[in-house]
Amino acid sequence: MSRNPEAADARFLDPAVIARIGTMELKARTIVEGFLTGLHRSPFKGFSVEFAEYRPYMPGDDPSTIDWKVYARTDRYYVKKFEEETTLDCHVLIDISASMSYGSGVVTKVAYGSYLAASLAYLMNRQHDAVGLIAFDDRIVTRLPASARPGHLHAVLLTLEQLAPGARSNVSKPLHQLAEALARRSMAVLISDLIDEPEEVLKGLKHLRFRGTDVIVFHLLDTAELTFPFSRMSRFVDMESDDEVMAVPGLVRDDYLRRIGGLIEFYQRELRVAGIDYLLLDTSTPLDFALLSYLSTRAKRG
Amino acid sequence: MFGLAFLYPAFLIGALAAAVPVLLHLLKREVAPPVRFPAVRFLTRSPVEQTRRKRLRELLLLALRVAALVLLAGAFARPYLADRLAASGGVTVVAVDTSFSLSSPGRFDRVRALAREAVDEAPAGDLVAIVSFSDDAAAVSDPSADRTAARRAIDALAPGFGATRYRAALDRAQEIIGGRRGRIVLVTDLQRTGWRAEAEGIVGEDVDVVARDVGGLPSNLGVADLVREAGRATAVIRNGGAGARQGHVRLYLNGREAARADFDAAPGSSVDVTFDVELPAAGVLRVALDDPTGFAADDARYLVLDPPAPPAVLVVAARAGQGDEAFYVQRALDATGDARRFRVVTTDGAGLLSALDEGRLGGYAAILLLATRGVDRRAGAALARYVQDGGGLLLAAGEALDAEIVVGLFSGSLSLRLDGRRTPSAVTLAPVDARHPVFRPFGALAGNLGQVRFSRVVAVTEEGWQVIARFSDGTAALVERRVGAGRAIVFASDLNYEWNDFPLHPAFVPFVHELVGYLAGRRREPSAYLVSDAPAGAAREPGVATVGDPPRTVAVNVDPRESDPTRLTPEEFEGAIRRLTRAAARRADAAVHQTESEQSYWRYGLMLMLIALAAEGLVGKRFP
Repeated sequence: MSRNPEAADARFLDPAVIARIGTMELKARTIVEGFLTGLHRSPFKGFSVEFAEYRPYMPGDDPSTIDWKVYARTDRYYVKKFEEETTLDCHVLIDISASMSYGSGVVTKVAYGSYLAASLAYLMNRQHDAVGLIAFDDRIVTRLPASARPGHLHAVLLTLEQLAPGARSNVSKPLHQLAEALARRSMAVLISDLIDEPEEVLKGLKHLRFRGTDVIVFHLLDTAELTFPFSRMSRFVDMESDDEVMAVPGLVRDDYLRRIGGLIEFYQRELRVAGIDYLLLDTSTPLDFALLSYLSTRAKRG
Repeated sequence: MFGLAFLYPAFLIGALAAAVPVLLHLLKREVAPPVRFPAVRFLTRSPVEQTRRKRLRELLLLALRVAALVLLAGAFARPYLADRLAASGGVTVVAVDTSFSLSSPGRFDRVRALAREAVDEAPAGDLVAIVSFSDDAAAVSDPSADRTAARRAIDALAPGFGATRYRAALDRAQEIIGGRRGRIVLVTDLQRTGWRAEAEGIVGEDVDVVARDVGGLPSNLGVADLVREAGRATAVIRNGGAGARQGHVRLYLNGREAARADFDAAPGSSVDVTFDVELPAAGVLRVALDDPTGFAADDARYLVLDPPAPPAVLVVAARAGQGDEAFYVQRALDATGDARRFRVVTTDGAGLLSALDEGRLGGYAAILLLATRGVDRRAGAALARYVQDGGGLLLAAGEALDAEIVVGLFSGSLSLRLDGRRTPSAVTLAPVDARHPVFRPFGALAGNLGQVRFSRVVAVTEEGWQVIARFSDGTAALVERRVGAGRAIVFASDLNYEWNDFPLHPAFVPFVHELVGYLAGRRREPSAYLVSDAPAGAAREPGVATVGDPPRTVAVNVDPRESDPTRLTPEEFEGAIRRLTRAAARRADAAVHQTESEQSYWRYGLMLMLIALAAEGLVGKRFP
C-alpha cells in the first residue's frame, strides 16, 4: 500500500490538528519539523535552511573562516564563520486584542497567531537567532526581550501558551514603542488581524521600517471574515466596542466583502511600497505558508 | 346591515389550520440572534431598514398563508348573505280572523281590540303588518313602522263569509316575514275546523306564533244543508248552542215564500226539516231561519233546481259535421229522450287544432278520437295535457284511426301501443268487472254484450293499462288508464258498424252513454259552490249567481263546517304549530340552499384563495 508522505506531513501543519497537540513547544516543534521535512522534498531546495555550522569552502570565501580542525579530520575545507554572521534579533509582535479571539472553526485567530509565533520562535531559535516576543492589545501586555539563550525559547513558548484575549486593539502603539526601543538592526514579525485604523497601523509599520527593521506582517483573518457566510438576520456585535449592527447577511454581504477586500488591498499596496512583506493568512490554512514567507524574508537578510 | 351566514358552518373548524403557519412563524421566527463579530465596522447600517422590509414581507407572507387557509375553509362552509332586515329587526304580523264565525253581534269588536293590542305590543323597531284571513289570506297593511296605519287597517276590517283556514294565514304571514326574525299573532276564535289534515305551514324556526283567543263561539243556529229529495226540499238545521232551540224555518221558491216549517233542535245536534211542497224542475230555493244571537251568514242556504247543462263532447272524425265514423256514436249520444244528456260537437283534425288554438279544448267534458286524419303531434300533446288536467279521452279503433299515428301521438304520455289490426274468427265482448261504472248500469243484462260479433279488432298492449273488458279470445277489448286528473279509454274495435255489428244491438246506446258519461264525469259542472270555491263571475258571498258559457245558475253557500263550535285547546294549537315549524325548517333549509346557490360566494372565496397562494409564491420567491 502506497503512502503519500507529503500529505502526511502537511497534516501536521493543519491548524486544527495542531490545536489538539499538547504543549506549545510540542506544537512548535511539530510544525517546524514537519515544515522542514516538507521543504526538503519541495522545489525550494536551493533555498535550503538545512544550514549547518560548517559548509564546504567556496572560492571567494574568507580563508580565515575555514575550520582547520575539520580539515585535519576530513581533509576538506569547511567554513565555520557562518554561525556568527547570521545571528539576528527577531521580535514577534502578536495582537491579543478581543477581535483576535474570534474563530468560526476550531482555531481562533489568537490561537493561530500563537502557533505561528511559536513556530517562528522555534525556527529562529534553531537558526540561533535571538527571539523576542511582544503581546499587545491597546498596550503592550507582555514583552520578552530578544535573546538566543537556550532557555529563552521555553520562556517564549510558555508565554504564548498562556496568552489571554485582551481589550481593544491599538496596533500602532507597540510598533512605535518597539521602533524607539530597538538599538540595532533587527527583524519584526507582526501577527494581527489589523482591525484598527489602517493609516495608524501603516505609520507604526513605517516607523519600524524607517529604523531599519525588516518587517513581516502576517494579517490573520478568519474564513468567516473573508467570506461572510452568514444567512440568518442577526445582530452583529463588535467584539471590541460592543457596537451592534442589525443586518440581513444576504443584503450586506457584497458591501462587506468589498470593504474587507479594500482593506486587504490597502495593506498589500501600501506595505509593498514601504518595503514590508505582507501575507494574508486565513486561519484555516496550514502554517507552512507563513513559515515560508518568513524564511524568504530571512534569506534576504542573508 | 347584511349578515353573513354559512351553509355548512362545521367546515369553519378547518380555519383552525390557519394557526399552523402562525405557530410555525412564531417557532421559526428569527429573533435576530446576537453574533459577536470582529469586523462589524465593515457592516453598513443601511440593512436595518431592509430588515424592517424583510419583517414586513414575512408578515405579508404569513398573512397570505393564513388568508388562503381561512378562505379555503370559508369556501367549504359555503357562505351567503342573509337578508338585510334579518340582521337588524323583525316583523310582527297580526293575522286577523275574518271568518263568519266572528260575525255575531259585538264579537268582531273584541277581535279588533285584540289586534290593536298586538300592534301595541310589537317590539320597538319591528315592522308591523296586518293580514286578514278566512279561506285565504291577504295583507291589508304591508310591513311598516307606522303603527297608526296598522290600527287604521284593523279598524277597517269586517267579518266576511269565509271559513277559518289557519294555514292560509300562516303561509301569508311567513311570506311577509321571509327570512327575517318574526312574530305571528293570530287573533282568532281557535276553531278546530281551521286546521285541515293536509295543512302544512311554512313557519320558520325563528318565527314565534302566538294565538290571541277571541273566546268561545256563541249559541248559534244555522242551516247546514238544503237538498231535494223525492221532489221535496229538506233543510238540515244545526244547533251549535248549549241549549235546545225551537223555531221555524221558511222556504222561498224563486224569491217568494213557499212554505214554513217548525223545528226543535237539541243542543249540539242537527234536525232535518222537510217542506211539504212539491218542487218544480227548475228554479231557485232558499231556506232561512231567524237567529239573532248567532252568525247571520249561515241563517240561509240556497239550492238551484235547474238541471245541469249537458256536458259537451267533442267527436273527432275524418270529416267535420256528421262524419261517417261518428254517425252511430252521435246518434247514440243524441238518443236520450226529452233531456239531452250530452251536447255533441263533431269535428275533424283541423277543427281539433282550431279548438286547441282558441283554447276551447278545456270546455269539453270528453273527447272521442275516431279518426287521425289531420291530427299532428301538437294535437297529440294537447290531448295528453287535456287528459292530465281532468278530461276524458276515448280512442276507438277503426278504418280512420291509424294505429301508428296514434302510437306516435301518445308515445311520450300514455304509453299506448296498438299493434295493428287482426281478424279473429268472430269474437264477442265480456266485461272483466261488471261493477265498473261503464257496465254497472247493465246489471244482469251485461251478458247481452256477448251477442255482439266482432270481426276485426286491434291488439292493445295491456301494460300500464287496466283492462275493463276482454274479447272472448282473451285479448283486451276495453282498457283504461288514469292520467293526472283525467282518464283515457281505448276500445279495440270500431263504433261504426264496420268491424262489428255492435251499433245494431240494443246494448250499443247504453254502452256509449255510460262510456262517455264515465269519461265526462270529472268535468261535470256543479250547480252549488262554497264561498271559497265560487266560480268566476260569482260574488264570494252566499246567494245565487249566473256564470259560465252557456250561462247557468249556481248557488253559493257558506261552508257549514265554520258553524262547528268545537275549539282547539292552546296545547293542541301549539302542537300543530310545532308540526308546521318542522315542515318550515325543511322549506327554510331549501330556501337557504337556493340562496347560497344563487350567490355562490364560495367561488369568489376559492378565487381569492388562489390569488393569495399566487401572491404568496411571488413574494416568497422574490425574498432573498
